[in-house]
Amino acid sequence: MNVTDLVASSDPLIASTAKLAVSYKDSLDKKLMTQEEYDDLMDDLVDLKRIDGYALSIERQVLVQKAFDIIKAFAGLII
Amino acid sequence: MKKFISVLVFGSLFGCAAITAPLVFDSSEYEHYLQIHQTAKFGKPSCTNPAAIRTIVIPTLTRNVDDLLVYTQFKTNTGLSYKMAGELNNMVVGMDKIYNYSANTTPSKIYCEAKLNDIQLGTARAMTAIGKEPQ
Repeated sequence: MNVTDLVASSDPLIASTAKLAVSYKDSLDKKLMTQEEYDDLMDDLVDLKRIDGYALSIERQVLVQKAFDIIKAFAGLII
Repeated sequence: MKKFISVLVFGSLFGCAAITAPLVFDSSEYEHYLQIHQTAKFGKPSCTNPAAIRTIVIPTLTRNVDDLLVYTQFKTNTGLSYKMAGELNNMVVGMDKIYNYSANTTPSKIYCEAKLNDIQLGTARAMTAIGKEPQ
């Protein structure tokens, strides 16, 4: 598997991150940005991945909370 | 007995999720993310002017992210929003280093636009998640 496969990934996070990485590398190769700038932007991709992980955890908690409220109401009827 | 069994069933189904503080949509928290997002969005046209980025955009982003960090630090939920704020802070600190503490006195327009775009992406993802919290 290479980065081209990742750009074509069905996972939107993987595909968008790979596209950004390719465009940053392209800009570096064309000397449109410095190595230091490139390194900083690549660090951003790690930060964005972590933000996505935390966001997924929040969304999962919201889902569980809603399910729990429904089941609690249902259990209240039968207890 | 039925209640005891119910507690056991809920415990096995939901684990600690049922006993942590419930997530509730917080419009102030959302507003903090929005401020960062909009500063990054409307800062992009200034990328042709590094002085404006140094004196207006970066200080505004730094202040906005710090407000978010302090606000989320003391919330009694899971701390996930505080962690997201920490990642946004890393991104802004990185930009500040490039513009203010680097030998590179004129960072490229491409870097500037990409950085502000990354900050927008991060805040948009955070807003999507906290926007799902029940009102």
